[in-house]
Amino acid sequence: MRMKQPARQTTYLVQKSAAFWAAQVNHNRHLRMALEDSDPHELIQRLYNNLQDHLDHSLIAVENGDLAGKSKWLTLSLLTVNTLKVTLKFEWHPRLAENLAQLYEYIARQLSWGLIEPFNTEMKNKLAEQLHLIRQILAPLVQAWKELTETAKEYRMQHLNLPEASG
Amino acid sequence: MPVSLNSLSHLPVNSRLESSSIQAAIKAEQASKIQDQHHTDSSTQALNLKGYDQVESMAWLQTTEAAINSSLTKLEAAQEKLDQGQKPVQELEELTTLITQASFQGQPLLAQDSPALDDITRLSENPPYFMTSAREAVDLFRQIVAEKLKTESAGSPSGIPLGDALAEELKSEVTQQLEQPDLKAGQQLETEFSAQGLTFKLEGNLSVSEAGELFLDEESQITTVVNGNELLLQGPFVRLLGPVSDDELQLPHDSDNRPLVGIDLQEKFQSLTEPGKLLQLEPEDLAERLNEALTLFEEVRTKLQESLQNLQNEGSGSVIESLAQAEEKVSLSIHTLSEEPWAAARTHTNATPDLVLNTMAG
Repeated sequence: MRMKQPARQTTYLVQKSAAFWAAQVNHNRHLRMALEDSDPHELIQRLYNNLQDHLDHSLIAVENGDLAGKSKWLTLSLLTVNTLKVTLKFEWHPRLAENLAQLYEYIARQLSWGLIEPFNTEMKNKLAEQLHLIRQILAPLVQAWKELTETAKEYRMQHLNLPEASG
Repeated sequence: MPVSLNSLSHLPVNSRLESSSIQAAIKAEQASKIQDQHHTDSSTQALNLKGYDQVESMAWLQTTEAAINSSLTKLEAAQEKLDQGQKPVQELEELTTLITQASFQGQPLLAQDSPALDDITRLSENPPYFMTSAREAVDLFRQIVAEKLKTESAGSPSGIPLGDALAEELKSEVTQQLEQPDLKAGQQLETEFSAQGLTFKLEGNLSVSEAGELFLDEESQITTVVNGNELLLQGPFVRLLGPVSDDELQLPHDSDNRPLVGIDLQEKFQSLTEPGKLLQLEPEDLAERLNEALTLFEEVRTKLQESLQNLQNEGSGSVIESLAQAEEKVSLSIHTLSEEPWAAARTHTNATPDLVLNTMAG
């Protein structure tokens, strides 16, 4: 996938943009309502999408040598993968939950390493490579959740014998 | 395609017109989820942490653990460089950066008003312990290295880490010996002195150079025994500054009437047990202090791992070591999930809109 390279930003601009984003997100009534209306499958899919989105931004920041951006997006990636981890429940399928827990922990460790290592040329290349690998590992799972969400929705429609939601 | 916040923000309200039955089904599922949350003995409940507090705590512990692991690697690399007589300047710079960054990452959690503080305090006794210990360890290591670099640069080009202390004691001892009134050229000087817990034996012949300087000739030597190994440092390494009288060997003195004695330690010690092997002497407690720094780091790492383990959900004990293992876990998970897609959300029933929103906010 070829990603658009944003213009190089100063720390000040990144902080300003982050503050603007936070304000926009935190006060976005529509977004909150959309989340509250989401079914459990969708919530998990959103977590995966967020993680993938943050990883993409992390990679761009790393490739651009943007230290502030790297810290911001890796921190968000770590936050998201840890959220996936703490929301796991083991009761339904313990083996599956264990596999996912181990996978999340593996990703979290890679991200933690990226957060704390000095951002020199050697580490920059290593980190970019790691992020590519994490995205590669996650991609099938993200795709799978997208399909699971659609399948689950269809299943509900059929089994509850309800018309397809409009809009 | 990742979720775009912009596209989400422009979603019309109630764009998804779910039927009341579906809403009811969702509500029932959410109610079941809430019930599960109240009855589970998961770590979230055991620690009485809210979801995002647990997420933050976990992130702090993970980054701190990563910093400690990385610090240990760099400490070991620095130690190796020191052993080879090189200066671990880069390793020290990186260590300092690591600890500063890890400390910064932990700051929000350590703030007094952090809701997670009490729980984490209970978890790990005292969270600042990690960073304090890590900083102490790095400070200690920095002191050790600084001392080593100082003695190397202050000593000879070939470097004797004990150089400063040894030269000081040697100068004092030689000055004392040379102030004896009946001193003569060709006379043999034999004395013992101590430096940094080691005893040194000095033997040498007093000679006068063509320039009229008194010195201990090339046959002179300093010997010492370390761990049963006899070590030898050969002269010349002592000279007096300024001309002396052939008749009386009257020593040159400075304005405070102290003999002007120059010490020039240019050789490393030779091992008499293993001929040809050159050795450097280190201050007596250097190895011990270095070991102390490493032990501190190990203790910090163990503590962190314990705390991290306490924050993990049950069943996540073993750690994935390779990319191949990670890919295998993904395949297995997808396979299992696809068997019952309608029930797949039961894997993450603790997911709430608040937690998802928290992962979006910058």
